[in-house]
Amino acid sequence: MSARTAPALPGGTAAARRNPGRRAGRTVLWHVGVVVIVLVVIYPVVWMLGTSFKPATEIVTSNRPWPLHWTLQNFPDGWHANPGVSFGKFFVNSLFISVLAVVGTLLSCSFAAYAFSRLEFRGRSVLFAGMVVTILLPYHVLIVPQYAIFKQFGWINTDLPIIAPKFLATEAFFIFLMVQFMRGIPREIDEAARIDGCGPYRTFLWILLPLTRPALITSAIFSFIWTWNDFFTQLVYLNDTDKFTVPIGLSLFVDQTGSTSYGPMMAMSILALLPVFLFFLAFQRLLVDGATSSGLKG
Amino acid sequence: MRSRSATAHRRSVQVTAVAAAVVASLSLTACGGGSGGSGDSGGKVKLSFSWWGDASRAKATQDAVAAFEKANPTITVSTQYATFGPYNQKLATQIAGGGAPDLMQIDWGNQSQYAQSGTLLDLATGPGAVDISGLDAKFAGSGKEGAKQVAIPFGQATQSFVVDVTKLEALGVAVPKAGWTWDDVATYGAQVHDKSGGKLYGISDPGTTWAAFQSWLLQQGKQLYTPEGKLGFTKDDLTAFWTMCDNLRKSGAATPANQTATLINGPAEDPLAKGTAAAEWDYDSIFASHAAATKDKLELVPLPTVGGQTGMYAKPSMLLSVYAKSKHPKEAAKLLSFLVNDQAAGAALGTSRGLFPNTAVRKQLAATATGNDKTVADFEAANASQLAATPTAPPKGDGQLITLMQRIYGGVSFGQQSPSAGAGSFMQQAEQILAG
Repeated sequence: MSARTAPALPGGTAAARRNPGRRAGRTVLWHVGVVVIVLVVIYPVVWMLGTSFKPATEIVTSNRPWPLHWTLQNFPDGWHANPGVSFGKFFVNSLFISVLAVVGTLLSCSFAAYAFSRLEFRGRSVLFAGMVVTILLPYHVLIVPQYAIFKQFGWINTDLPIIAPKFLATEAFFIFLMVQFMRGIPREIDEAARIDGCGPYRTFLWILLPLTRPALITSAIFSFIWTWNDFFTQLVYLNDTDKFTVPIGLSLFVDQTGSTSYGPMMAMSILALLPVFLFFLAFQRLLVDGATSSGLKG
Repeated sequence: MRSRSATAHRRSVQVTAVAAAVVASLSLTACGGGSGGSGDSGGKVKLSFSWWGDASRAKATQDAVAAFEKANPTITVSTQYATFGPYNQKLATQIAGGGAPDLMQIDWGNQSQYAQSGTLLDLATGPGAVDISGLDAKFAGSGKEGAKQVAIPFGQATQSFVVDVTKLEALGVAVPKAGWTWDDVATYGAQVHDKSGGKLYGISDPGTTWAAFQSWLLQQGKQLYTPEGKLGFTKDDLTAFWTMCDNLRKSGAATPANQTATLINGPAEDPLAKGTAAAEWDYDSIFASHAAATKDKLELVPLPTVGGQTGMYAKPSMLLSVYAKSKHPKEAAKLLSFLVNDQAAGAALGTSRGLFPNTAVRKQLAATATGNDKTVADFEAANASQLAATPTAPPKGDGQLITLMQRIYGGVSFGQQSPSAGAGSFMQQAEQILAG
């Protein structure tokens, strides 16, 4: 990546052709710069990784990222930190919620986006504007009325308040993303499909959905990460310890009035990062793939 | 064309299958859940009870609840807990949404606000009446809001200086004794600083701590708040306090600004834990956390005095309240009474919330206490007779003043503002916060 970008530096191309030594110098400089930035960005993660192997006494007193005395004890300590329930249960709960959230978001938001971008109906522009405005509403404004409604439904202390809204296209940001993407797909393709005998449903399934793949994958990645990392919604709606998710489990390590167990917390944080990392790794390939292969070359 | 339509058919079958699976899993979740809130099930009363705290407190509390359920087979209790910050956000949402737990642990700073909005049941009379005759009357009075007893203290904490004895002995500095004055603090702090070659400071700078300022006011017979919830002190009082802290800091007796700022990180990584301060103002209920953060031997010392007054008082470290809209106020009050009075509860809870509310049970526990618990119990016993009257509950906005104090004193200690200029802007902003 960097090697390809290097010649594009200001004044690089012409000068480089004349003087290959100077070009190599610039490339080295560029790499050094990038490496330094990467080190700065990655330092907290390295610190977290190092701290997860440190004994408790070393965490606050020493500034070095790597432990003097290595220990694995933080992992079992963190895993069994809460009475009666292990961290594994939190992982299962988080995965369940996050995977359903991805499925729900993709289904409902792509339907809504198709309607907004392709179908003609009364009040479309007003509804679209209204939907976009909901992106601007801070979550804390919505939480109290939402809580009251879900309490009426008897949904408190279940996963439903977290999952059900995802199936009802409440994530306006993803709808907006998909609408913008679908608007970029030429209408001629729809018309061709209609001439071939497709109704609106078939046009959606056969034509638009496959072409929207990059937007769908982007939505899937963000929907997963956001739900996996979402703390407040899960905190408010889940009461029983065995229903807790990973973010709530992690927050239990930080106690302002008591002792904060950093070692076990960092150990569990490392484990909590893994699914997000793997999910991104798996889908990033598809994202790049989608962006290059779905081009409308005519 | 034919082949395309076949593909499409297969795809639509797939989509339908996915949709069906989703619906099925959703309805499964719906069946599996549904245990929230309180309700009767098979003649049993179901209560919900929430608190904040770490895992060890959760274990102690769940043990106490189990003892209650054993003694009351017709009542089951579902418990929920989180750590302090998130807990209060969640409780505020639950209260606003009409779904607070039957019995809830509340912070003293929130008591007025919740009482005024009619969230808390009166525990003096009516269905929620709780017997608090076993508690010290002054201490139990902290849960009063006007004529109503809206909360019962669920643990007692007292102000103290936590002192690192190991470090002082190594330096050859005498451990401060009860009855020391603020002048003694200056002398002691200078000794620590000089003998350690400037590596160690006598105390963590108390100028940033709202509650330390409160005890300093009480030492002079003044109050932090008036009973009406206005500021009970003047700009001159605050200027005098900050000038004193300023001098302590400049002489090396108290920690410099950048270290003082780490006080908000809590006992696990404050100057005492990092070994840069030899003593620190804190509640004695936090003693175990301080002890866990260092290998050194720690000791509790009463606050410095003004005219013989320590300004220390029995503070409720947290309180218990019954939700006014609870469907089972009687049972919730029964659980509350058990948690603050019963010996079995005392045995299970230990000192996870400070000293046990009921005085008779507290004495029994103190007799058998060991380790850190014994240090705290001995400290409380030695000082019980000299405690000042417990002030009225802080008004709404108290939490904001705590952070305002940290912010403005931060500016003062970094030398951006003089103590009197800082006190001036504090008074102005504090009055706005309390009025709003």
